[in-house]
Amino acid sequence: MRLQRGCLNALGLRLLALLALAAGTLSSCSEDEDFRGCTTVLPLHPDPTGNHDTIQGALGNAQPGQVICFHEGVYKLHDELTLTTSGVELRGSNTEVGTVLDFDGQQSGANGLSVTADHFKLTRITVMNTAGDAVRVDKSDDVTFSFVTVTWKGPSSQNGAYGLYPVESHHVIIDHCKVSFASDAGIYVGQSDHVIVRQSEALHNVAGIEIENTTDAEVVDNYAHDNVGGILVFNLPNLPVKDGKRAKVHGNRVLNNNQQSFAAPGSIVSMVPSGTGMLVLSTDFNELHNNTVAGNQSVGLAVISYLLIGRSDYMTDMQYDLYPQGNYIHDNQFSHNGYNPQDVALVLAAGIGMHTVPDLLWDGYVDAMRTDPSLRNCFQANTGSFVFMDAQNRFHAPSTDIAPYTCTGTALPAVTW
Amino acid sequence: MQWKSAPLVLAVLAGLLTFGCGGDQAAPPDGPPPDDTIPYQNLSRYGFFSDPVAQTPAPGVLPYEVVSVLFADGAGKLRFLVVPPGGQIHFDPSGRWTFPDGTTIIKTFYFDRDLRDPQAGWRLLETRLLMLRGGTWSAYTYIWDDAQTQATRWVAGRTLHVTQVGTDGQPLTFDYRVPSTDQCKTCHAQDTVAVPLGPRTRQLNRTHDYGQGPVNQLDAFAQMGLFDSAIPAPSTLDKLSDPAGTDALDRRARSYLDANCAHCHNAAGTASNTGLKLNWETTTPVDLGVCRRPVAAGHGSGNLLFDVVPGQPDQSIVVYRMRSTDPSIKMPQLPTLTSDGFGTQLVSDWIAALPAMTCQ
Repeated sequence: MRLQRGCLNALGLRLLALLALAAGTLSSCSEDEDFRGCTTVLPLHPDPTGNHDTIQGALGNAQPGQVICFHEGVYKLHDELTLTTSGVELRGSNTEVGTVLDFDGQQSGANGLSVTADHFKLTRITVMNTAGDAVRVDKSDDVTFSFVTVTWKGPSSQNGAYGLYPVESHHVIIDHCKVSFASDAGIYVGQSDHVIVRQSEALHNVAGIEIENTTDAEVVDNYAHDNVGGILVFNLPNLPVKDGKRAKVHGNRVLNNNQQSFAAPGSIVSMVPSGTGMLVLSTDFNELHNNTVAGNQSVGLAVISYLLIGRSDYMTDMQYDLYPQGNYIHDNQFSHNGYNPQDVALVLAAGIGMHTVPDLLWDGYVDAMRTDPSLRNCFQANTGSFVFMDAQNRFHAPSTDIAPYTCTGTALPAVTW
Repeated sequence: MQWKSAPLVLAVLAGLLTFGCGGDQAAPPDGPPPDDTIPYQNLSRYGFFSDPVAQTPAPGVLPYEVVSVLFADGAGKLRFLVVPPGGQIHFDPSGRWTFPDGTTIIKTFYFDRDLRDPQAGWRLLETRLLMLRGGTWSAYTYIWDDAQTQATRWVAGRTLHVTQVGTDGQPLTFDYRVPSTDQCKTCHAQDTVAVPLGPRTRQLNRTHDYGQGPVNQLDAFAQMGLFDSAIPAPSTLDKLSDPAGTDALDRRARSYLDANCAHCHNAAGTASNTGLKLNWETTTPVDLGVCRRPVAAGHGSGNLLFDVVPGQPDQSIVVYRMRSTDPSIKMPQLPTLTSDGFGTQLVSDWIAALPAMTCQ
């Protein structure tokens, strides 16, 4: 802003800027904004229709290899943007002000940006106030979000469900992104494979980061705080992509996820009690290690079966594996979790005669038909307290002794491709 | 030839002016670019219509109708098929047909000007083309101008303001959304590849009058040599029911869902991730939404727990979303702005008539 005003005060530059703007090419203050590598730079209009025409026109005419760039400032929009051409990057301004796509008052489309395109990059752009999901990427291969911010005005169940939402996609990187106030999950990876979520921040969402029915995901060096739940690794029934596994979750800070829930009732995340650090639900062969998990009032990390949550819809999915198996949870730093359990966490704690919940919880459901040692859940070298709930035996013999469940599991390599 | 020079001069001048003002696309120095590459900028350039405003098809442009119509905010629709000379369609009794390269499918959207008087004519809104070239279907949209003289290609989507005289003689004013070209693919993409949706056996197995009285369209196509093989008698082939007709409720509702929801809600469509499959072939109750918990609906669930609760339409997310006009809740997501009261009632009736059961 500062430099732009400076530019506009100089008459010569102003004339140049007007000419440049009129020619539809670069605008005024290119000395501040770096458009190297851009094949198109989209002018900023004062009205949503003008912005939509310009941006969607560029997306509709895009060719593979194009880098479509934005100026600094707020592009107001009232209609969904859609990209279906592969090999395109959308890149925001490099300035401190940056580029914002603000969908406040959105009138059409269920997403802010809807992408079905391989080799897609979204770089350095803030997406705000979408009616539904902010950025949905569907059935795409090779997708990179970097330095993308998504937010809404504040916590509300009327906010869009997901911030960054790759689904049924492959080879996805979410790097240095920040998502807040999503009414379901800030960063939600669904039914995908080969995914890296790193150095990103999720705050004030219902779920911070959710990896669902996804295989080979690495969630590394993120900061999930002040959500209802910090990091969730789920497998859900009745979905076309089944049996997600092998999430490597490490080096994350998962702190103070004590946001009061504003999830839509009935959604799976509405069952997550406020104050959940990490949750592993009916998914196998994950490795969660070297995370710092602190200040989450209901529980630090819970490993649970779909059987625990009291739903019976799994019965229509014969392939659904109810049991979390072969998970390796080690070298995590837990402190001050479960001190004030909420909702279902409170009920469960009461069920085993506790007023608070230990840092680390395993409900104890095992598949009696499968006794292969590689299917054991292993807990090793974590700091913090533990409880085995013995849910399978109606909570008959819960135990805080971790020794029977201490073992060395299978470490996962970093996700690469 | 002298009469031609004035427009030419004007054209050159216009080109210079455009250039001087720095329009987005600098015109070449010899005038505006000729409209000679597909997609053309002007719809009339294709020659699909002998009278574009009257939508009178040119020879070789074949009108057709579908059994179950996709609701388009109440707009009327005209459909045409252009198969290149000598080309033939590979017929499939249940799956999608394979069209010869060069095929164009045309759909024009309009509103009647006066609901009391069909003779008052129509206001054309948009004409959408699906063109198969080099093995790929591409979508091109042409928006009709207010003066109804021409339709010009538009990529970005646009909201049109429509005025109509209602049945009570009072003017009705409302918005109509032309989707962006990329949004075409949201519905038309099956496993990310765009395909035609309407022209298939179960949708075209109905009568149309090609000038000599009503005939079955499939028979008519076969007689014109449009199929690459003989086809079975249409009476033995798959056929949807007219949702507004008199067939059994289950058939009418499922036909409506197939035409209005299944382009996304099938195993290859944009909503495949939801697992909700509303296509005609689906028989498994949970795939049809029965006691299915939504996975990614967010507040689109309306605080309800299941897509379809048999016997209880008001407890069914499907009905809640069909009633909504909120862009983050409404179904279908695109491109309508209003709720289809008829279709919502039909689907409600269907759910109400399903044998009641308790979902858990």
